[in-house]
Amino acid sequence: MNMRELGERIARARALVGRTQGSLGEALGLDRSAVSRIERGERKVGVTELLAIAETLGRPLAFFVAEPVPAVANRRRDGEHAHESNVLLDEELRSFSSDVQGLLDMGIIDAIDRESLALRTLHTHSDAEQAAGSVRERIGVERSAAIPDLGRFCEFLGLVTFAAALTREGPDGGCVEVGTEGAQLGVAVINGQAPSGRRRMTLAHELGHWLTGDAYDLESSFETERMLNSFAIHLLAPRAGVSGVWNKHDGWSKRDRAIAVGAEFRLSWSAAIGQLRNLDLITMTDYDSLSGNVPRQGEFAKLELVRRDEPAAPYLSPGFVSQVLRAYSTEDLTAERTLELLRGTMNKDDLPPIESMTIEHFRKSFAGHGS
Amino acid sequence: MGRGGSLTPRCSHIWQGLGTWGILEGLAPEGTLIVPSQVDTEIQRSQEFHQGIPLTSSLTWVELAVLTEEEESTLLTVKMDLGGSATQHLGESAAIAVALHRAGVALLDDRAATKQATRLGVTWVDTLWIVIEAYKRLFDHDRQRTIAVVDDLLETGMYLPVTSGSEIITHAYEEGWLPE
Repeated sequence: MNMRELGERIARARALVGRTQGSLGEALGLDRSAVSRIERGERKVGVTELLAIAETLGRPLAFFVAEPVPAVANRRRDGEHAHESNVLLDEELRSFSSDVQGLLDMGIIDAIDRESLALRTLHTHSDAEQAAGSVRERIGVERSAAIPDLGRFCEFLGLVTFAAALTREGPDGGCVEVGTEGAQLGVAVINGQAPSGRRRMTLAHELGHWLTGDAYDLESSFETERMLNSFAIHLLAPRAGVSGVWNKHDGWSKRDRAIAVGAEFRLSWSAAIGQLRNLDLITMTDYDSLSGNVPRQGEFAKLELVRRDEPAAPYLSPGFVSQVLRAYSTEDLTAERTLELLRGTMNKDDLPPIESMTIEHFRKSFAGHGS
Repeated sequence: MGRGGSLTPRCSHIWQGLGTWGILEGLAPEGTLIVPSQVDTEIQRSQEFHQGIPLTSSLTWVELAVLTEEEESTLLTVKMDLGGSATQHLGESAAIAVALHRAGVALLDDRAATKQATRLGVTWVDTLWIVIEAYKRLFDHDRQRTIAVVDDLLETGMYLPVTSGSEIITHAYEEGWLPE
């Protein structure tokens, strides 16, 4: 890590917590100009200083010293809502992907061969629907069923997810790829404070990026994004399932039937009526009349429908959490690092018991002096 | 042990428990034990609670090490993977860094630290290894002395594969660590 890169990271970490150079300097016993020189990469930062900076700014050491991961890609809503929360998303993606890479390096989590799952580029809505169907089939989700745990579903396909608090109006999410050819993982960060249906759409969209292999495509075109949205909605709300729910309630008003579809497949209102339109179950006129009128919570309850929230911040893919906790139980990870990796989804009291040290550990010390 | 050994904080159990500094002195490769400055700070801290711990600066066979830039860089990457506050796991990270760059052997008892050492290809030993080596090379196979050392270590709360010092020699034979 060169001084300039380190300085930039320190500046970013300071900006994220809204501290001035003077205030950071004060906490470290340095004057403002020393902090300024550190951030410009003109002054060396000692180990003790760097550890104090990390602690003062509330960031794990990994934030400052981890190897940089490939450029952040697919930040949805980027130009639309240029917002300081975009910076938050970038930082969360950098930090999470670097942690995932570190765990891969340590052999604590397993990679997959992305090529074995890869989808061809989606050119048409029909391609997108077909691809969504084949992905559902691969994971064994029945062709008309809702996907109950989308985070777990994505994880089966090699996409690890963190739902971060990026503010309600913040960006939707983004993803990157880590690992090496033949042993990769997709890493997605989504806005866990966006409305629930939107979160699911975002995650399904990021899964599309990962599976079609354009996770690095910063120039992702409008058309690509459109096809991935099409993939996402067909993945979450397949034609057979949506038609089934629609037909099941044929005595209800169109609005109530649309609410039922949204509840069953956990979609946002706009996604639910959009898919009904895509599937020709409602007319354009119906769509227009429904679109401005988002249903209230009570309308779901009145119809005895349950809206489930998933995945809200903070959320991490369950398999990832499990592997981290297993490594903690065998003390391959310290409690402190485990809590950093779990990103506020657990506190120290939640951690499982440590497994007693086995004789195997002591044997390692004697076998070739532990090497 | 190879050339140079590097002590870590958990191994301050040794400072507290082994009773005699002669063990470390006797087993230190080429008669020198390297103590990284970060570990020395922790030893100094523990001197407040355990008065029998000597000043490392007073021991002629201890070499205090100020880390090079390269070693500091390794320290930071190891510390990153061990996590924690500014002072937690700092000693283990320093010991691994020093052992890596000075082709030494790290003395580690923390499991997560041994995982890091193994990943970096750093040779490490633990306190139990030290005790068995002491039995062989320093105590002239004196069982009672070895038992006393193990009991002292157990007294400090250290986890060992035996619950009493009296079991250690039999256990070591069963494992094949003795009679070598």
